[in-house]
Amino acid sequence: MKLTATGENPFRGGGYIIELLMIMKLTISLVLLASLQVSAGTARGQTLTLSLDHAQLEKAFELIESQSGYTFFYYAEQLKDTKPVSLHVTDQTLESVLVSLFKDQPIGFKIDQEKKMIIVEKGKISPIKAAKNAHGNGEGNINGKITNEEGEPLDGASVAIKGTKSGAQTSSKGLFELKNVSSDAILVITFIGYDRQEVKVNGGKELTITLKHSTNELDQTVIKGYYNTSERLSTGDVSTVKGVDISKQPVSDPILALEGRVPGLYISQTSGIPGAYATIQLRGQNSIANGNNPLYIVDGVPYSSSPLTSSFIGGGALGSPGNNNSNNTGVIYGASPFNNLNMADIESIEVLKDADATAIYGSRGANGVILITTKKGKGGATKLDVNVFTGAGSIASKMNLLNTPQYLEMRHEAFRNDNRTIGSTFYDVNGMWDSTRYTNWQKVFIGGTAKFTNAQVSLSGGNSNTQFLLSGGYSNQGTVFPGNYTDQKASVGFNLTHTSVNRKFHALLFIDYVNDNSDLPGYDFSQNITLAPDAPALYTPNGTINWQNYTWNNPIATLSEHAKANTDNLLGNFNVSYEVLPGLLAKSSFGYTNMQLNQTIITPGTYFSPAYGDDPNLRSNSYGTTNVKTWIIEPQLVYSKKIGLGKLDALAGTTFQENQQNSIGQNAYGFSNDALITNVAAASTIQIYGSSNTLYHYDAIFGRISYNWDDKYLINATARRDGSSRFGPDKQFGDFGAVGAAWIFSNTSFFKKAVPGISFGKIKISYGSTGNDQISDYQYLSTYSSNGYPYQNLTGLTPTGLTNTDYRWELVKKFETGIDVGLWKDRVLFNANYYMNRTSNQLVGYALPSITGFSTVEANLPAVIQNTGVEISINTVNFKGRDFTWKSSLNISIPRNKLISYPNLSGSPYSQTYEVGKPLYIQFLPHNTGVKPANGLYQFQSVVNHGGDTTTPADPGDFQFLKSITQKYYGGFLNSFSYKGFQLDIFFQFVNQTGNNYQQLFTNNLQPGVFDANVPTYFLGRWQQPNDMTNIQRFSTFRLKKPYDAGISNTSFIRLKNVSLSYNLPGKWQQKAHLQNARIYVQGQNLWTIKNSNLWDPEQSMASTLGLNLPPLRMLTVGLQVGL
Amino acid sequence: MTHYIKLLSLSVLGVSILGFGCKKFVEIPPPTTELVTTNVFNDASTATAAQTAIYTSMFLNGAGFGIEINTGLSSDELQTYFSGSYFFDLYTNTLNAINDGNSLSGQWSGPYNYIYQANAVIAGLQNNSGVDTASKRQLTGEAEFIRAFWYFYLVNTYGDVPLLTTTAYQTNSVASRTPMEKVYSQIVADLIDAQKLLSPNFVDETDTAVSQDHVRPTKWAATAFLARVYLYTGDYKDAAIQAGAVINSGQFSLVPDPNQVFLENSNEAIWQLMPPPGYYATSEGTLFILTTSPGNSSAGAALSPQFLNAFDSGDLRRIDWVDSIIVSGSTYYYPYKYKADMSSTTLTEYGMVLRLSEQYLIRAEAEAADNDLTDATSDVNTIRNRAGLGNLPNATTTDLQLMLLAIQHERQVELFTEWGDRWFNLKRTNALDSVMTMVNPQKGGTGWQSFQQLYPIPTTDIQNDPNLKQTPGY
Repeated sequence: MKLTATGENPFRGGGYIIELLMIMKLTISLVLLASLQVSAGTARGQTLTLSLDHAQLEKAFELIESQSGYTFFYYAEQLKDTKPVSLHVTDQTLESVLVSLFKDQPIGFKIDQEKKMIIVEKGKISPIKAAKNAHGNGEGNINGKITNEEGEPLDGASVAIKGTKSGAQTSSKGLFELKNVSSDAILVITFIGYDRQEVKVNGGKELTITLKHSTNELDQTVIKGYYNTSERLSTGDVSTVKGVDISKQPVSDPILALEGRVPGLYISQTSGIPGAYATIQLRGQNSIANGNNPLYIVDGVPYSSSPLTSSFIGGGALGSPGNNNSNNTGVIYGASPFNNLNMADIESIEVLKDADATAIYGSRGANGVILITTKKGKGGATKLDVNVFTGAGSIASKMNLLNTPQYLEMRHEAFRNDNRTIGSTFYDVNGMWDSTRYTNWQKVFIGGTAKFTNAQVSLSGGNSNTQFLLSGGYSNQGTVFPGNYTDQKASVGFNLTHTSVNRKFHALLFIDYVNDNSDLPGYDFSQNITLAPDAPALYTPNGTINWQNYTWNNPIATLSEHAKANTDNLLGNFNVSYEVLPGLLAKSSFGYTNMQLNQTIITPGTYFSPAYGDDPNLRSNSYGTTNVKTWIIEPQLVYSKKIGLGKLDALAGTTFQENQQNSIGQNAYGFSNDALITNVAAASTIQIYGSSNTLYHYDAIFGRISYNWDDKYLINATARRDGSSRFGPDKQFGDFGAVGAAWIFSNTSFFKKAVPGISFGKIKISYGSTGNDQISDYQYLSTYSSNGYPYQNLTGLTPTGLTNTDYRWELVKKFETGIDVGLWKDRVLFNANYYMNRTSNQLVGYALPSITGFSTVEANLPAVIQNTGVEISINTVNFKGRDFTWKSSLNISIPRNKLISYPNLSGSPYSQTYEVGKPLYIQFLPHNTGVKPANGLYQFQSVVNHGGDTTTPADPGDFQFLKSITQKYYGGFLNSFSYKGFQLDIFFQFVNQTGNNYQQLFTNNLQPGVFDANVPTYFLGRWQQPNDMTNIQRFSTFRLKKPYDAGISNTSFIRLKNVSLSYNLPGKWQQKAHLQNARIYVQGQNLWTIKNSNLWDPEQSMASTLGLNLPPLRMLTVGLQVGL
Repeated sequence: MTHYIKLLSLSVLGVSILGFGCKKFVEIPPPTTELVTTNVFNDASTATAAQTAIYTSMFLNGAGFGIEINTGLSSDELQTYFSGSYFFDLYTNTLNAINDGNSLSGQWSGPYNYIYQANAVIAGLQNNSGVDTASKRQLTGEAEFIRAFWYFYLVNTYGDVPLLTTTAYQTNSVASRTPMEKVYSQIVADLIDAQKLLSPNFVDETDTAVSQDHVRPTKWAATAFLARVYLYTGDYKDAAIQAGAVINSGQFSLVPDPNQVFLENSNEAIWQLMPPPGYYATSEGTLFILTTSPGNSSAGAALSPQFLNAFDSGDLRRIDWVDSIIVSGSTYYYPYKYKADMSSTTLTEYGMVLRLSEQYLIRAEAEAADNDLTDATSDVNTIRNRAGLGNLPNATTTDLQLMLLAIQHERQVELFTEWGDRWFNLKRTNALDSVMTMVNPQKGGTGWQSFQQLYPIPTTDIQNDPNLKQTPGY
């Protein structure tokens, strides 16, 4: 192998790059990776036969390479003065052949058996040079080994000689060699994830250096998916939440544990039902339509972020994914797929945000990437860890509702206001019901306590070559509803890491299996809290359900409906890598996921009022299955080399991915008896609601090249070409890429001298593009599908939608710049980022008038949307003593969203939805100017009639006032205290936002006075008589006007999101009990909230249309963790 | 540095070699649960399934998307027991585009969805050769019939409406309202063409073999509907001819017992909708029949006192087609034309769309308008006699105005809560304003305004189609 530049040989660490041909050869061998021989045979005992006459040395090298499998490393210049050779040998050893070959040459050689290399060296060290360096202490060669605290060799650690440009990088065995090192030299060893260490040579020749895992935030490993880096050296914007912090929160969905902790990631827990989907948005809304989900990757395998819940039969109390509104707010219904991950198995969650970090994910990285990494086995003594906690939750926010006298007053006043007499069907006020009764329905239906128990056991161990981790877990979470509903989760995990003795071969296998068994009511009982407070008792004195002469549908009967969902989630990944050459890894991952959901919604006859009679058709069993299978294969080549003071990293790979989703929903009804209802065969009719099979293929080639010059200047370029089957012919491929650069100015000597207080300073900038293909499959095909109903024995076919074959990739261009500053030995770390993302080619279900037969067609919209924002985080060590430490961390995100351009917006369907220069979250509404003192009705500013007020804003022209449902800023503030064995974490979440308030909630269907439904005491401030000045309109039995823009107001809040207190039992006790560690802890979630009085729970105010949904729970748990 | 660039480019090239398979990999076969449109219309049975799916939808969507309830509330047929919904606004004639336009959207977008499907069937059959001529004629005829049928309801509910005869969303999505006369011309043209194409016999799923089920539109359905369209457009001569053709076709006869008119394959049925397996009640039966207080029922409605007063004493239709329930001491009356409600377990009734008795009334009115009071009297008496009533009094049969009023009254009590007949007839005969001016205050309304004759269209459509205007007055 000819090297084409002068310099030191690559083996000494100062050399240059390997030639291209070699890469090509390896590229191909990459594909054949599966058949790669782990030990490719050694040179020992191998013999050569050569016959050369007056041949160039280069020719001789080629022959030897072909027979020995060894590779020569040399530069053309080195061969300039060599003489032609004549050599005839038979069955000679490599070494003896080389000795003969180089005998009369001005150059020498060195054999590296481990790497199968022959390195051509300059002639012998000149005596002059030796003398020059010989002043003082003399110099010599150093061999060393670098390991971590567990004794595992570290591959790729950088060893530099302080004050010089020389250095080396460790081999896969952790070995390095440095030549001609002065005996008083100082070695500087750095490696991602470990503390930097300086070691004095002191004349030593053999050094073993142990690096400590870094505790400095800046040096923690940052996983960027296809490669890792550290916060210090990253050119991109990645936030990490550690498993430790996740496990401090008593929730069962890991996404909920991220709330308020990641700058730029807005999460809102919209429901307190276990397993419910949270609202997730990373850096605002890039896409007008659906498709604002980040890409989720669990240990390298893409993880579906859409709820598995069947849209055919719905998810009972969790809602149906069919109800997803694309109206900007990101609220998703159905069961959260993340609930099928085991919290305890998570090592860390990384959130990749800017182009530099996400472009390598190409088309799927438009909305950012969330990487979930599970725990891996650690070597050393086998360790058993048991962690059990138990606790209970209750609703975090109560609604203050009217009591019976207040309620009756409201109803009578409403009838009075309307001059209506109370009719025969108004049982709550016409005397049919006992008007002296009072029931707190909130307490009855959602006032319970939800028990939460969680137990986890893990066993890990191994040696320096093989490590394993086995884990098992069980959790059981109840609900606050009456009746016996639970969400149970059982999981087993297995992972195995193996490294060959020569450390060239690595393999990692992990398999995670989670079963979630959820048994919930058919609907959210929160809807029952507004029952009239004088409604009849649930049960008659003799314990049967009270139907009160059939004057009401007693909601307690609905307890008999059960929506059950059983999810099996299997996730597996096999990763294998082989070090082909020093610094060059060929690797591949093979991932597979299989999620299977079986649902049933059982509605027995007892659900219904006996007024309906004993009707077999009322008894129904809806059942559905959904299966999602994904496989992914990603072969890659990774190259890493120390070049001069710099380090080059390169990566090339390809992805093949397939997703298959099958689902079917059916309904069986006509059961003669409730006891038969689980047996579908006993139904008189079985009807298919729908079925779908979709296939998604995705492939890509991607590459990355980065260069780090002396930890001062960093540049990182990534590129990807993607193909997706979601686009029509010739529209499938898209190209994406990004460049990121960083300057660590604190590492310049000038800066070090000038500003000594600053221990770390970095400026970074990145720009690039990512894409988005989050649309349904097959949209470009014109198809008909079965409607499930035969007519004259032929099952009907209906068109599935309108077809457009021309849509193409949505494109997001991302720009980001940021600064990191560390003060006083990094005791204060400050980070600020500014980003600007622009999305064009918007893929939307283009809104059509329904006269076209459908409401949408998939198309690219000419709009450009911009998301900008500033994200700041500050981590400080406020106090650090021998026993007491106090740390704080604060993050704040200030997002802004804007529609930059939309050609011909006024002539488009979106003219009353969006406005150029305004956020996508706006709503066009009439402006509420209060309640008219004369008649007690809301009045609005009339635009059409040029000023003045109107009580009936009818003309769209009056709908000109813009209100947004969005966040102004949000973030979190964490304080951690540790004192001896105690550790206390207090985490506040704060959100400044505008959202829907009570006025909005109670105008959709529950307007005060209209129904026999209760309302919050907030409405007592209504208009009552002429000249009353108030902002709440009169009670009425008719639906009065909506409050319009008054229904949206400030819904900001501060929430004490999490408190965690733990105590490590004293070492003496632990020793006595033969424990490695023992810890008891108390954890609380959603403990205390400051909010506006016109809200139920502020986290729910983001839904575009509000319903009565269970607010998040306040959870309190106690736990014990023991290590054996 | 050039080396690095070479290195990168070559490694990318190397990987690209692998990528040659990429192009193939992302080309996936069509979904297994769906049929590509061109294939649907290359086969008679899938083409038939594409057409008959419309009938299933019509059955499941409450026939006319609740047209009988909506117009029944708007007029004087029904009384609502829901106070806080668009039903209440219908009842009090206070519909409001912003609040109710979208609630009533089914009435607007549903027909257009069927029209899209009909247009797709017509175009699909034109462009494909895989379907035999007989099926092609029958299906094209049915699609044209359906298109005409729904345009009729659209113009009568909304006035001028966009007239769309293709599936091209690019042009359809910017359509403006077409004058009602032009829509009627298209309706007439479609029905005349359908008369030629459709089989005179009821067919089964093969489109040719005769079936005993009255569930597919025939030549007579097209003729009967054409008779009604002529009546509505004032072409009395043609109305009488078409209605006469149906009456004299020999295919249909009045069922003597009013209780049996709505049974499956009733002899009176010119076209019925067949329920899917497992559905034992029509939407009318499910909605109207009260098992508890109307406030807790699905339609929230019962028959109005005005309507109950309209019956002559001894009218079998009052006895057989109206029933009542007493809840907590109050009596509620409800339409009982269909007897099967939600709890039924056997199939007895189909959803009636067109029936013979209306043809008698159409002919009667057309004859009367043509001053042929004798034939008109005989047609009206045919209907009255079946209802157990005697012949019209002489005073009526000799006075044109009284005769026309008698025919309207007969329509009111014969066709109540069927497809909005009452509301559309009052409107057609210019009687709506006077009737509603009287009825609206009785219903607790705030006064009748003439623009309420037509319904507002969904505001989303006005938003999404820049050329579409809201119904005048809203």
